[in-house]
Amino acid sequence: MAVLPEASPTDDPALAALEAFFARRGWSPAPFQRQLWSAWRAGRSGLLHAPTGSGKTLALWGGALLDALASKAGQAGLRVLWITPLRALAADTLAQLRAPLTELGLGFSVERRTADSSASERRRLRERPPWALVTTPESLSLLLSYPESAERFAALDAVVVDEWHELLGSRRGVQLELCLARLKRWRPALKCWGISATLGNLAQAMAVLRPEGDGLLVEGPAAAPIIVRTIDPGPVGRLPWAGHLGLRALPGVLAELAGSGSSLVFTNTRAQAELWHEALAAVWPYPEQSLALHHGSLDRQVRHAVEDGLRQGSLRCVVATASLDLGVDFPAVDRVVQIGSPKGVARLLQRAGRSRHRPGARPEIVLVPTHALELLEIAAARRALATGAIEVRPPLRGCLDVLAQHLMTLAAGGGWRREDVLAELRSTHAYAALDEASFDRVIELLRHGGAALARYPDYQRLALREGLHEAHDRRTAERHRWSIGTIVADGQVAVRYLKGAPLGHVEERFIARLKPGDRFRFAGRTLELVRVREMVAQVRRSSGTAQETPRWMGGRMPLSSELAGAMRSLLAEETPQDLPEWPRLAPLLAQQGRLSGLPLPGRLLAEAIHTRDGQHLVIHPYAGRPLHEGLAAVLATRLARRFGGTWTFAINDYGLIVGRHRRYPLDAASLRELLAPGELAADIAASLNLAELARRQFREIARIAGLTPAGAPGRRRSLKHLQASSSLLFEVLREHEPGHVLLEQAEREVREQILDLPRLEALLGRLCAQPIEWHCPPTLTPLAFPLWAEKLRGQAGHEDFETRVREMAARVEAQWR
Amino acid sequence: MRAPPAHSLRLDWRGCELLLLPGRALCLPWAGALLIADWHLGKDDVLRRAGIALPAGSLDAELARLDGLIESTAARELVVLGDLVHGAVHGEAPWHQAFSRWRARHPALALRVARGNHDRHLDALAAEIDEIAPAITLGPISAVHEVDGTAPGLQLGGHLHPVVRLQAGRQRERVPVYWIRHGQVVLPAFGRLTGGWPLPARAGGRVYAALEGAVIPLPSAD
Repeated sequence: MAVLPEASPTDDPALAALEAFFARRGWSPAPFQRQLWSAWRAGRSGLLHAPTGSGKTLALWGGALLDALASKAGQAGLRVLWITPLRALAADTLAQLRAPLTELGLGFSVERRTADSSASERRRLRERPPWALVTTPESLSLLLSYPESAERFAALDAVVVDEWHELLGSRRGVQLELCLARLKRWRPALKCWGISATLGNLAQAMAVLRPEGDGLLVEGPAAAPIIVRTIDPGPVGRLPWAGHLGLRALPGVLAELAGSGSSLVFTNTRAQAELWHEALAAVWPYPEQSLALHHGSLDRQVRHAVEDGLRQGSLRCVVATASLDLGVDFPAVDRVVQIGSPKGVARLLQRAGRSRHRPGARPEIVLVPTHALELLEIAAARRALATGAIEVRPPLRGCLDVLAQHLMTLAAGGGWRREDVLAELRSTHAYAALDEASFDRVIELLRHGGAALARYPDYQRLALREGLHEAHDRRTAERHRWSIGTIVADGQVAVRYLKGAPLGHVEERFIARLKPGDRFRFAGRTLELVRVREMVAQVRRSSGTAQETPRWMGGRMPLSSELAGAMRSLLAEETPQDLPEWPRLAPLLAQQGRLSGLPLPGRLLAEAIHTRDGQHLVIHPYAGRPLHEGLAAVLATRLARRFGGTWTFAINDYGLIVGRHRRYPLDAASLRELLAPGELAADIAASLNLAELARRQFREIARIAGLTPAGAPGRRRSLKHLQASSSLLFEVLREHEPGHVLLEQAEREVREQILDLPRLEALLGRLCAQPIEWHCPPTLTPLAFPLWAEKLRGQAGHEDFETRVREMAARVEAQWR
Repeated sequence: MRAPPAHSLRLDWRGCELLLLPGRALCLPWAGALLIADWHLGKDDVLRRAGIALPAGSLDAELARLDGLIESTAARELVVLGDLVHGAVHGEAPWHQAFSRWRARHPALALRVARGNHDRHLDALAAEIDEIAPAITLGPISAVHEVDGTAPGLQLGGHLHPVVRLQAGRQRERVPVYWIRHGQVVLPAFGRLTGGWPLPARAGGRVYAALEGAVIPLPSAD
């Protein structure tokens, strides 16, 4: 790629003004910023690879400012769109973008439009468009659904996509690709810039955002290497499974927090955040108000208050989940603590980057292992970080549900013609290979509800009038606007005080289990359920102890395959001197080695273990949860075929366990036979409830494609009702229209994304070609114990489970000594 | 009357024979009556107008199921325990036309309906129904929409759409059930698009699952 000449301020008064702005702050523009400004002014598009806190915002905003400074005209319509993945970021971004405008004497306005914007704000934006608009992919899509959208974007010069790595690989990313294609149709010279943190596939990330192939990859400054510290868990005498909430480390964490100004304590799940907040509050030596909680289920106002507190430095500590992962600037934060494994190298970098969020400062993160194997994960993350093994985010392709939604959006936004829109769709990365048959089936779906031969009477969404596809009527268009958005939540119930102050949302199924009078932990307080009305749970504060903490679905973060690979290769090293975690891990690994063996690369560790509840086969492929799930199901089916009886299985990030109550004769040779790929597809179909998996997948697809409508304001309807109807729809479609295009998508996604048959087949091929290290340890090994406990969890009631795990732990520990 | 249809389950109430049929219908052979509850005709139209893309085939399947039941029981009358229709009744609605064609094919069959809470627009179908009443009497048995225990004899009703969640391994299924207690029999909903009310764990009484090909007694919960 040609290197562009850097602009010099002498022959460019706009650049001189911008440099003066930098100089007044004691800064001077970094080379990458100058490079970007030149590219911007040359009309180029591309991707800026820069860590947070590196001046990335000014690198791009500077380009827009130069345009503004150079233009003689007034603001004349909307010129710049700034897309942010989280609406929580919009407020901060807005402040950041506004600051230089006034100082540079530009009377231009920057506004934001998100799902949080009020009706009057929206009206004002419509009547008096700002010069630049900060918005989210969903809100952009919504803007495109109005007939006047072509006019609204008629003067648009540039789009900046902040935190593009967060959108890539998701349906929201696909939605944004489609929106950009539409904008480029109106404005062929539109500049498109993305900002991305480090990814394993940066070049691809740019190619998705800029499919024209002329993108420029601008490298920001190399990120300062992060400092990773691990709180010493003490001798690992306890079992790996024990204490997965990690509260044993509370004194160590408190000591870390005492030595610093403001801190962020990250957890991996919302339930864990609630519990850690509660535990910290109980021993908090500072004013009570200086400790806060932040996660995605809390009410917007509660979250905003916490974010403001962090900005102003009035909070000493915030316990948070991924809700604070993204790039809000909190310069006051100088300590980041991560409870448990970060589960991925990119996430470790991201979270570490929250500390000392100032250019030049070295970010530091303190890791708190909650069980012994997490210590190994942390050591592996440290190693992967050193070797630069960052995760890849593969972009999605061909999602017909997002396509259906977008076609409806364009139909409501003035209509489209088949040939034009097909070319527009194919200009995106996601639909470059879209075939006409699939495209026409999606059109049929929108026009008639189903295939051409099975037209559904009464169904009215898309109408074809003189070659133009339009929304059937105003009501249809309005209903579609309410359902725009590809993020879907499970049925959520609002939690409010009796007096009406909102606290946030919990899953419907959690509230459904509670009776009035029951106490639960939420938003950092103990609450008593008073009553549930419509989709609102009314609560009051309670002084008692909570009986329950909500668990949110999808809370489990899978280990990235990069990190799993790093773990395995770490095990093969003799004594990694550079890893501070190693002295604590060594005894545990030695114990594992004495009882059985280590899961080294290139061989398959298999353990046959008898306990009182049966005989178990434990293997450790380190292939990630989805593949373990498929493999375990296939093994259970094949074992049942061979030996009869009822088999149960469980999986985790490292391996899997299958077993049955009665003993069975199994050895390395017969395990190898069981692992042969053979009739894999048939065995998968026999072992997993594929229809059930497809039904679950279909729920999201149906909602995105608009098959099941979202509730409109004033017409509040229980999401439960909606869920029932997506499941009903699934059944009826399977019966009466088995070739339905979205059913096929659900089945394909189950095959390719959830089960990943080709990779499962490759895994089986690899495993049965490897030497099998067969062990019959006298008791559960450190690696087998967590799997055994996981399997028990699936079978036993809650209290029974705790007791039995404790009993087993005591018994096994005695044998280990 | 011929032999009871295969896979049905025979109950006896004070000498009266009741047959629970797999097709979510109950037969009183001594009265030549077939009873169903909660058909909710036209619900698919309501859902489609709300933007839910339901294929139109489900009514045909329901009518075929009903024909099969009438044939196998040789019923002389059909008694509907309420909620025959779901919402408004338009003459041109395809479901209405299909229903009228079905009715015309069975001129000898008597059709009586115990009015349900959804049946606000039932009178639009009055020409095709022989009797609409709050309760239909069949010998010592009273057929209503909502059972309330006020009748002296046996009450048959619907309204609740009872279902039970069955789990076998990782497979979960919601199965429509008959729920029988204290002189009351609640029928499963006949309509396909009706959702369901899961019986509480300690509901009491006896529960019979209406599976595709058989009626199976479920273990009593209390």
